Amino acid sequence: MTPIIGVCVKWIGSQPTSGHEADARFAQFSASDQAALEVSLQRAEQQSARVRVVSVAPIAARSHLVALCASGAHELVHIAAEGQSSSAHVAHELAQHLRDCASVWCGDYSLDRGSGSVPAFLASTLGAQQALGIVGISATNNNSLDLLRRLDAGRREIVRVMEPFIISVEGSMATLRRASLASTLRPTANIIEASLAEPSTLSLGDFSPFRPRPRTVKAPAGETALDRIKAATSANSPQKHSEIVTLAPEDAAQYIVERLTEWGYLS
Amino acid sequence: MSLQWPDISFQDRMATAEFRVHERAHIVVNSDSCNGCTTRACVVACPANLFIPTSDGGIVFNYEQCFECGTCYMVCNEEGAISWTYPEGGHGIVFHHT
Amino acid sequence: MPDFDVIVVGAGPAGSCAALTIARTGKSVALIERGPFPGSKNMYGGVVYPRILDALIPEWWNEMPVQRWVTRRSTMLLTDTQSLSIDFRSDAWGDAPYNGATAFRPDFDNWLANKAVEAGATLVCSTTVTGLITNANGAVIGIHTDRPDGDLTASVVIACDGVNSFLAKEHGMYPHTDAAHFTLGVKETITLSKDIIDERFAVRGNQGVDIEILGGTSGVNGGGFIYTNLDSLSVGVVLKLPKLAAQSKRPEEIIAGLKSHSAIAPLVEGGTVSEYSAHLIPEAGLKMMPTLLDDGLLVAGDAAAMCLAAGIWLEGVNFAMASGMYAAQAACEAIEKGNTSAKGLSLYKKLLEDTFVLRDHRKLRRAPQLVLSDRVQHMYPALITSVVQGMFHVNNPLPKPGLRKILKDERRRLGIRTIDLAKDAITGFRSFG
Repeated sequence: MTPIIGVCVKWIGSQPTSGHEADARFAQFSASDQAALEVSLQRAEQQSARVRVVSVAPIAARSHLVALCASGAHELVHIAAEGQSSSAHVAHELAQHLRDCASVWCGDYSLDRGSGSVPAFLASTLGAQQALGIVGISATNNNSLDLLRRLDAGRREIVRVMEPFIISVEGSMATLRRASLASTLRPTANIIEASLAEPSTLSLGDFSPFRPRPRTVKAPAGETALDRIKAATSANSPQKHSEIVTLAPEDAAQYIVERLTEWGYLS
Repeated sequence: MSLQWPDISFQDRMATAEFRVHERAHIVVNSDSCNGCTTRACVVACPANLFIPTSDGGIVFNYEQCFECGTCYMVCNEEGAISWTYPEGGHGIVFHHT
Repeated sequence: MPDFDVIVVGAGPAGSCAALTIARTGKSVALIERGPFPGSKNMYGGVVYPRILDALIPEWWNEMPVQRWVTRRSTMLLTDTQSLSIDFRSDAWGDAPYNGATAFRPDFDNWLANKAVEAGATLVCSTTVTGLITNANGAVIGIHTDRPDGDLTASVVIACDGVNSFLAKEHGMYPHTDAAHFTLGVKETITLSKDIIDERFAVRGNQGVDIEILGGTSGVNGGGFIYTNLDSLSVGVVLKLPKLAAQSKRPEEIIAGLKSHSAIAPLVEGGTVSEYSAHLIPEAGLKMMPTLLDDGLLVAGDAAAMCLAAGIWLEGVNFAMASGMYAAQAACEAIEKGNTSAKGLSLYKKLLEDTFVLRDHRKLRRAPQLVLSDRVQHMYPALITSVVQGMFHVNNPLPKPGLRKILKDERRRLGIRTIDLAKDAITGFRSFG
C-alpha cells in the first residue's frame, strides 16, 4: 500500500495586517504552511508516498487550495466550513482524514497568530508524537526522524520522533516549489469534499480561570491615621523572617492550612 | 499654497500598500552607468522612492516596495542602466482599493 | 495542434473582454494573469464608462461592482490662490442605463475576468508571461511563462499586457518608446465616511462626483483628480514623465501640494490615507500607438496605447474593453478561416477604425499634446482665472472694466502672444469642436 503523508494547512480569509475586511482574493497560506507542504513533497519523493493536503476552509477557499496543491500534492481533502470552529473540533475533523498517515506536517505559525493548539489536539486524537518549531531534518531512520528544533536564544536541539508523528515546521525550512503550468491549467490532485460535522455534544464543560472572591479584612486598630497605617503595613512590628519547621507530612499540611487561614487566604 | 497639510510619513504611506516580496530582485541597476549620470531622474520620479543616491555617485536601489509602474526605466537616460522586468507571477504589488 | 485556440495575456479589461468574446464562440482560450487575481496589479484614476459592455453583458449595471454612479462632473482650473469650476449634474446618469461609475479595479477587473471564466475561459493567475514563441517565419505561435514547463501554444496570442507591454516591445511593435508619451498617475485612496462625502460633494445615495483638475500639480505638466467612492475618495495627480524628472518635487509631495490647496483641502481634510498607489498611463494617443497586429499576434488595451487623455475626456477602460472585444472577434474569424496571419487578422484594424476606438483617437490626435503643453498647463489657467477675477472684483469707485480690456491687459501681463492663442484655439477647435 502506498504510504500517505498528511499536510494540514490553515485558511485565513485575508491577511489580518492589511487592515481590510476578510476577502478570499487577498488570502494566502503562511510561509510555514507552504514549507510543510514542500517538506512533505520531498519526503514523498524519497518514499514513493502520496501527499494529502487537508484543510478546514470555506467554499471560497477552494481555488486557493487547488492552486496550492498544483505544486504536486496528490489528494486534497477540503472540509467545507464557514465561520469559526474550536481548535478541538477542527482537529477532530482533520483527524478523520489523517488516520492512515504515518506522518502529518503542519506550519508552525499561522498568519492570524493562532494558538497552535490544533496540532496538539491532532497529536492527542491520533495518538501521535508531536514536535514543534522544526527547522531541519538531521537524520532519517526507518520509521523515526531526527529533527532539528529551534529553541530560545539561537540554540537548537535534536529530537527523535517515532511514527506516527505530527510535526510543525517553520517557514524558513523550505520554499514551496512553483507549480508547473500544466498542473495549474489542469489540476491533478484528487479532490475529496467533506463538510464539517456538528461539534460533538460531549463537552468538558466551560473552563474559566480561578478567581477567588474578595474577602473582608478587619480595619486596623489605632488612634490616629498614622497608627492605623502602621498597623495595616506592620511597619512597627518586628520583621518576622521566614521560619523553618520540620514536621511529618500530615502535620506539615495541617500547619500550612493553619497559616493560610491565619493570614486570611483560607476561611 | 494656502493651507498646511499634515502629511503622513513616507514609511506609513508605503505601509498602506501590500507587497508580496519575492527573493529575486526584479530591478537591477548598473551602478557604473549611474556614476556619470547628472540628472538622477529615477531618484525624484519613482513614486515608491526606491532609488537612493550614494555619496560616491552611485545609486542604491530597493525593489521590495515596487508598484511595478515602469517610471524608473522610462525616465532613465542612461541606456540600459536600469534593467526592469515583472516580478515572478503572484508576487509584488497587490492593490486593494485602486 | 496548439494547446489553445487563443491565449490572452493579461486579465485586465481588454484581456477579459477578449477571453469572454472568444469563450462564447466555443473556442478554447487561456487567460494568463501575473497577479494573484485579476485586477491586483491594476490602478487608475477611478471612473469607468462601461457602455461598450452592452454588447457583452446585457444589463451589466445590475451586477458590476460599482462604488458610485457619476452624476456630477466638475472641471476645475487651479492657480496657487484661485480656482474656477465648471460643474455639471445630470440626474439621468444616476439611473439605468447609466453613464460612468467609480469602481475599484481589483473589484471590477476580477468581476469581468470571472464573466470570462463562466463563459468557459481558462484563467491562470500568478503566472508572468516572459516572452513570445515564434516559428521559423516569425509568426507568433505561443508564449513562455515563468512557471516550470511554462510554454503554451495557440493559434493566436492577444497581448493585453498593459502599459509596459514587454510582449509588444519584444516583437518590435513599438518602433520607439519615448518617455514624453507617458504620464505617471499617483493617487491616494482616502477613507472618509459616506455621510461626510455626501455632504461635502452634495450628492445622495449612490450618486458620485468626478472632478478633473488643470493646475495644482506644482508646476509639473499634468493634472489632478478627485473621485468619490462609496466611503472613500480617490485623490491623485497625473504627471508628464520628462517634466517630473526635470524638477525636484517627488510625486507624493505633489499630491500633498494639491491636497493643501484652499479649494481642495476642505474636500479631503480629516480623511485617512488607506492606500497609496501608482501606475503609468500611455497619454499620447494615436501618436504613440504601436503596430496593432502581426502574424498570430494582436495587441489591445494599454499595451496598444488605447487610452484617451484629452483634457476634458479621460477614458481608458472603455477603450481597453472595446479593443479586447474587437481583437477577439478578429482572432475568431481568422481561426475559422484558417488564416491567422496579419492579413487574416486584419478585421481587428477595421473594427477599430469603424468605431470610437480609433475614431475618437484620430479626431483627438492633437489633444494630448495641446492639453499637456506649457501654455495650456501654466498660462491659460492664470489667464482665465485672472479674467474672471477682473470681472467679479468690485473696484469702486472705479467703474467696471470691459471684458475685452481685462483680457487684453491680462494677456499682456502674462506674456501670451496672440498668434499662440489663435493657434491653440484652432487646435482646440479641431479636436474638441
